Amino acid sequence: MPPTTDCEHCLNRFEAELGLEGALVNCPDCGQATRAAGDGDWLWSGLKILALIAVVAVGILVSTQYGVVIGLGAALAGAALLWLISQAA
Amino acid sequence: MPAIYELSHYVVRRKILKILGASFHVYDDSENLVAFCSQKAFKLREDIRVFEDEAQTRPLLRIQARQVIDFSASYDIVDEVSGQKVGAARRKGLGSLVRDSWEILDENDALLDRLQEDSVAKALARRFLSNLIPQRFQLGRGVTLSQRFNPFVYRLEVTLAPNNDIDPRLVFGAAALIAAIEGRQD
Repeated sequence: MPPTTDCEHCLNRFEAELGLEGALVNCPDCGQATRAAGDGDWLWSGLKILALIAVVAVGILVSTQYGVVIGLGAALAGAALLWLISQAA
Repeated sequence: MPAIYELSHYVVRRKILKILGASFHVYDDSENLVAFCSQKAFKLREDIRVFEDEAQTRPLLRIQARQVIDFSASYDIVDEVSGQKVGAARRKGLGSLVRDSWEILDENDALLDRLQEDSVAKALARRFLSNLIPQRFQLGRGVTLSQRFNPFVYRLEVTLAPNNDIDPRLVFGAAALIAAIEGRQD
């Protein structure tokens, strides 16, 4: 069953066709293009999860070598970098 | 209706030596500017905006990628005048390794037509010998997109036959994508 989409223009709630998750679809009520709910970009989502795991792993590694504070700092810096990159998407 | 949708022939010109982002101009046969397109720099997800004027006051089309990683990516094409999605273009990732190949879809992702480089031999020559060999695309039976040789300016001529039945907005969207995506590979 496709996820429910809320039209960003008229707030009408509808179900987009299967396979159009994450795509722009025309709202059946107002006819305007709106982004369908769901994530059609599974490769990018997978990469984001991998990157998050990598940041946590780096944080743990650094903290074992240089202490918890520096490890936490490294993890936070990595997380901030990932957040910046995700904003570009 | 914006002038560009009533033309049967227009030329897309894109400067190759632009450092950040990309932009291109579209001219009619009398060299009048009929559309201007800009691409934002530092965007992971492709976002192409097309306007009727260079001042970017009259939007025509919005073309947005669904995916960040664009192997077989789909691009939604939205008419900014009506606000409605008119269709989409999907790049055939594997097929495009040999020759550039796109599917033109309607608003529900049903296949309308295919856009392909016209010759496998030339496509292979472009990939393995020289990318200065101009590309030529065929969209259905009525639309051709022909690149003209110029090492400094990417120039794509779009010709629509009078009897073609493809929405001119989709044709223009496809031409903008070819200029933006395929043109970048040069």
